[in-house]
Amino acid sequence: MKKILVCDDDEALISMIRFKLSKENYGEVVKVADGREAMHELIYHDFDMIITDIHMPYFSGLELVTFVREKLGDKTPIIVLSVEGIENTVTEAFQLGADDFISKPFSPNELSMRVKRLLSA
Amino acid sequence: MKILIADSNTVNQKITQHILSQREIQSDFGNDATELINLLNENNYLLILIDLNMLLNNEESIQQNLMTKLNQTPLIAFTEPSDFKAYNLSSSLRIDGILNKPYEMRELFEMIEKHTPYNSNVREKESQEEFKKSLFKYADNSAEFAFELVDCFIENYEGYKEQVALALTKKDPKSLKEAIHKIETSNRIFSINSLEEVTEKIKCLIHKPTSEIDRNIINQLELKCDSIIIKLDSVKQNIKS
Repeated sequence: MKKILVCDDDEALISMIRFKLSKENYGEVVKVADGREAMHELIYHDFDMIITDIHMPYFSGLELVTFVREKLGDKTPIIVLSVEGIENTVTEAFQLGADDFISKPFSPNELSMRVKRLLSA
Repeated sequence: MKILIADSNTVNQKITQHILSQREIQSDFGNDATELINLLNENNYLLILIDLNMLLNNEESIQQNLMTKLNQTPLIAFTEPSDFKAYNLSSSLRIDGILNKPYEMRELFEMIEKHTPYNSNVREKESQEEFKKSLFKYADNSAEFAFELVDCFIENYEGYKEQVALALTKKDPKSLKEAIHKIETSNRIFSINSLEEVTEKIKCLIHKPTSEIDRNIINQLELKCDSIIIKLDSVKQNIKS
């Protein structure tokens, strides 16, 4: 069973992600609300995918991508969630090693397609 | 549909009148007992909302005159939660409901719906239908999950008000920007445009000294968020039924 780490502090969004990914049998969703919790989870557990917001308390999504790629040397697929109007930040996320980004708000189907593509890559 | 509001606080008057007009409820305001009696002589109201102290702090004859004029019109009093004296005195009067100050618009509308024939009008229902459609889309067309999600969104909009106020108090542009991004993201889910103007105004407040911050703009945001919360709450009841 695959494990997906979702980092965001929006309970509605997290619930939607968890609901959709469980419904489509993508695997278990582990949720965390900030970058510090995410790093803690990543140190002690293995994940098949990371979905992270860019704006998070303690450590941003960009710092999390850097942590995964540089400190952990991990190639786990990472999807970055962003709001409209921060194109530069999204470009930076790709440069740091993110695999995909989704602009908020997004539909459950869009999420499902992106996750499916990366998990089967 | 017309209601009478007896509140000597002019800021409260304007805010309340604005939000009521959005729901197509007309309102008159009285600043004291004499004005109320005059308004009651000239108009018919479906509900009276009165500051409890305005009702109590009058000579007995005026109070009796006022109560006679109020007749059988539903009477809702608002009071400070800690004002037990006023609360106890009110037990001798015919009062249909009590709201604690500062009351939220949601509570006011609940009172209005409870004590008058007012119910969501057609426009409001249409708007609720749009909300419901958006919510179902976001919930992957699962009614059960949509019902669960509504509470998350209600909590989000409650939180946005606090996050914006806190960011302005702390003079924290980063937090303010994040709070506004969150508001805009949620608004896009429900295709809400009514907050754009006020969020633009709020962005301009961050660099002003605290003493120069126009509290009315923050109040406007709170009211608009409350209005969205009311709609979400109605959608929730609708899904439940």
